[in-house]
Amino acid sequence: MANKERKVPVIRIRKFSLTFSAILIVISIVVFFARGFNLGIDFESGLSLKVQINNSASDINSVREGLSDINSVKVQMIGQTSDMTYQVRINVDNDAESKAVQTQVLTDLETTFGVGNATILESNFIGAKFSDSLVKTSVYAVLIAMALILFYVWVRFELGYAFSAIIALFHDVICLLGFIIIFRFEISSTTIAAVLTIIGYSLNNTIVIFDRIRETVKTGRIKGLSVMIDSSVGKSLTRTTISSITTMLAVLPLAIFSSGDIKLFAIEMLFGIFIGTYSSNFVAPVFLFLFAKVPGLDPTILKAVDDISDRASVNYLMSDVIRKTEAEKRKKTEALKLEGKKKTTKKGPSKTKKSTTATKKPTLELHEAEEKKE
Amino acid sequence: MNGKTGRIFIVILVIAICLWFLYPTIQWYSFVSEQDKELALDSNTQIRDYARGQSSVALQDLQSMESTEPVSNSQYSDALGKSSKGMTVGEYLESDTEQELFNGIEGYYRTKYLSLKKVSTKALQLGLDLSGGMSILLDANVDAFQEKKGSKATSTEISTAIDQDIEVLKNRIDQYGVSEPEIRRQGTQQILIEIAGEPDPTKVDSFLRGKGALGFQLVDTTTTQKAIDYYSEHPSELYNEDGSFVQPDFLPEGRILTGYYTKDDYGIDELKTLSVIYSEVALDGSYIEDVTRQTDSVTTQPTVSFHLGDEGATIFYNFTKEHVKDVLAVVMDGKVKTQATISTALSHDIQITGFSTDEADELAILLKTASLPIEVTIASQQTVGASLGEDAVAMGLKAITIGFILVVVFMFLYYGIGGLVADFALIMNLYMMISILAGFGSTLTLTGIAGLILTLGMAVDANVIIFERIKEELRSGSSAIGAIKLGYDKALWTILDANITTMIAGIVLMLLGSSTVKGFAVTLTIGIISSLFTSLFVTHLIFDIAVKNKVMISLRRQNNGK
Repeated sequence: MANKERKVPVIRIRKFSLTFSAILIVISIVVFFARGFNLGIDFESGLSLKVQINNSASDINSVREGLSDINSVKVQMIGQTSDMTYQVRINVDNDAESKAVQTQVLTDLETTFGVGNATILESNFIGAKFSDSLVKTSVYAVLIAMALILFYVWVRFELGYAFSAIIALFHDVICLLGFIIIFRFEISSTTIAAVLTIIGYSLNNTIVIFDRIRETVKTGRIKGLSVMIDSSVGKSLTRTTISSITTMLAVLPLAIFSSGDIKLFAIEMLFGIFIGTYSSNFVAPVFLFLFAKVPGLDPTILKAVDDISDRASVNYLMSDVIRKTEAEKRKKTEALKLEGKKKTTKKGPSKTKKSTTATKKPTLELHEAEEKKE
Repeated sequence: MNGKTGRIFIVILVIAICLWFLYPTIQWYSFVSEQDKELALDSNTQIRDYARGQSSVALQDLQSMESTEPVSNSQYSDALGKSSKGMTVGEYLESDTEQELFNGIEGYYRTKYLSLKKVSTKALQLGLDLSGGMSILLDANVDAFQEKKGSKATSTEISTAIDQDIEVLKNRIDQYGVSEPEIRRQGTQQILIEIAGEPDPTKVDSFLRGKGALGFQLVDTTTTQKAIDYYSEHPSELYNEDGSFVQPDFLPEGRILTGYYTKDDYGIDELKTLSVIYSEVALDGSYIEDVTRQTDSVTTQPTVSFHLGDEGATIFYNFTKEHVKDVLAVVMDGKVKTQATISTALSHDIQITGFSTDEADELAILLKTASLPIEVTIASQQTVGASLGEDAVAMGLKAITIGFILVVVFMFLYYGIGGLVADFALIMNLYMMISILAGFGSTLTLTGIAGLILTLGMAVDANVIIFERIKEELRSGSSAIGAIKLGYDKALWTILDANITTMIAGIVLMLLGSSTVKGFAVTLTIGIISSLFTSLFVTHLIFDIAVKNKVMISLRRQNNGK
């Protein structure tokens, strides 16, 4: 019984969820302006070296000291102190300069820690033009993908669905970027991959739920769009949960065992799965509900808007609760009539309708419950 | 029933095609020794040098044996493709001329490693971030190109010039001994070069600049004749073990023994005859400009002409006026490619004549490789240490395995036998993805592995959607057959819509993304296709067969609603 009728009160709690999302987005925007991105080497021109030092006396300060004669050098530790692996970043303009600086770094480190004790594990030189074009192509790629998705959803569903889906996607991307900024994760090509994966993942979820809503609207067995949406999200709930769990199970080992870029990718993914699942269930359907009332956007879904029950839900009332209480009232009145008691019933429904949801009149309820037990 | 046979056939066919794609990968990673792999991945020149060295050593071994000893080492008979059973060393050595024996053994090694090389190109290779290596992105310097040309270049002209650059770089590969780099165009004005392993940075540098590889050197004709005479008697003494020439004692100071080469069975230079040249370089190839290949209008002979800038012309003039009537060789990476007699003192415009059409074509191409039609600057150069890569591979495999097991166990716990069907689909999915990646000659990168793991997690989703639908139908009272049919029908468009939208994102990234993102997008897109196939086709078939045979595949928890 519980399964068949399962509903998630998406529309009823929409003010909470929208407020929650708005807060997340505001935080993301604030941290963006306050801190900005921690741009990785892919996006910032210059030379980046990963060096390993084979001398137990080394620590980050001695590395910094050893390299102090090089201009604008930044040293960061990678992993644990015992790994003795450091990231060295230097601003250089061209390739020839980068080669000279690289040699200098190696000589400096060998003077400090002994000849043969410093190894360059990785070396990256990124010209200024390259980092520019990487940002541009990435942004273009995302925008083009979004436009195509919008078009596809418009053709397969209706325009309101497409807008809602895209809004949910922007929501996810902004939240994910906010998360990345807050935790000072480096932005690299891998981050782009994570953002795109989340777009794909969240979209996948949203479409599955929209598909349910579309089906429910088409069959028209339930009255009121808000009820239809609640019930559709509810019917997809098992699937939503299991799919999120399996995807998280697959990504989790990466977050635990890997290192570097891939670890960041996995952590971003975990957060993204969470935020994507949330937006597919609680943000996209709400926007669909709002867009449904805009004439001309969604002809089919507009018909599904049922003023009485949908307005009821606007007043924080769960429409099925209303109908249930109404039905119970009706039953009760009939029962009372049959028993031939007093005629107080005529005024009863409107009074009790308000009171059941607010304070619950005790006497009537109790009586009813006892009857059922028998 | 017929329909079902057809479907089973399709599934088997897909499995078989995938196996065919995957076979070279299995062969490469399971049956080829580390040492052979390394050699096979080397450039053709290195393979040839190795083959020659081995052949020289083998022949010398044989010659040092007693002539009455029986031939025991079957390698020689394998190499020559004929039985040496019961032959003594003496008889064996007499069975062919020394040159024939040498060629036979060399041929054996050549075939072995060239065919291994073919296997390697068909096997799924690891990306640079996993195997270690260097990736260099070059920007075409359009401004310099236009300045040289004197007018604004159209995009087609630039594009052609970049294609020529790529050709030139490819031709340089063997000359500089850089092991098998991948050279391809990226975007409109960039060239991406990827070199696996741990390339020597100075070698790579001269490879990019093209310096020092091509030059003009004088030929010592007297000593050349002496060397040719000597080695026609003793061919097995010609090479060191590493395939380089032995420098004989009779060589005067400042001379080098080398060969005069044309293209051979490796698709690279074959020794035509020996040549002794002066080690001093008369003119470096980087001065060469505007190489053209023409036919002389009067004599109808093929000619190759080129132009020298002022600086080059001065050097060349001063040199050639001292050496009129001497023989000058075009030397590429220490090998003589062509030699011609200096007719007079030469400066700006030089013409070479006196060879066949093919030779002229070859020389023209060669001279063109000396400089790039459109200059390039290094936009980015990234090196990943191989050891870092090995760790990443080990970690990636570990994470995939654990994630995979977790998902498989979870599905079984949640759906029971039905979960096992989904697990089967998942395994088939992984198998198909790896096969298709190998079949398309893709490389597996770190982000590719991430995409693989993600797709595995998501691939389960399609089955979950179907299972939940089937359970719903069962709850509303459908028969098993009806529930499966309705469940798949209703889930079909849900799954298609959800996957097509994700695939749109994947394809856009594949076309527009940078190389890191591309690796991810490729696995994602392939994963979506294979998961659509396994969930909509393969598991459907399994359910249909099970129902037909009255085997009920339980989807646990279906009774909750009762």
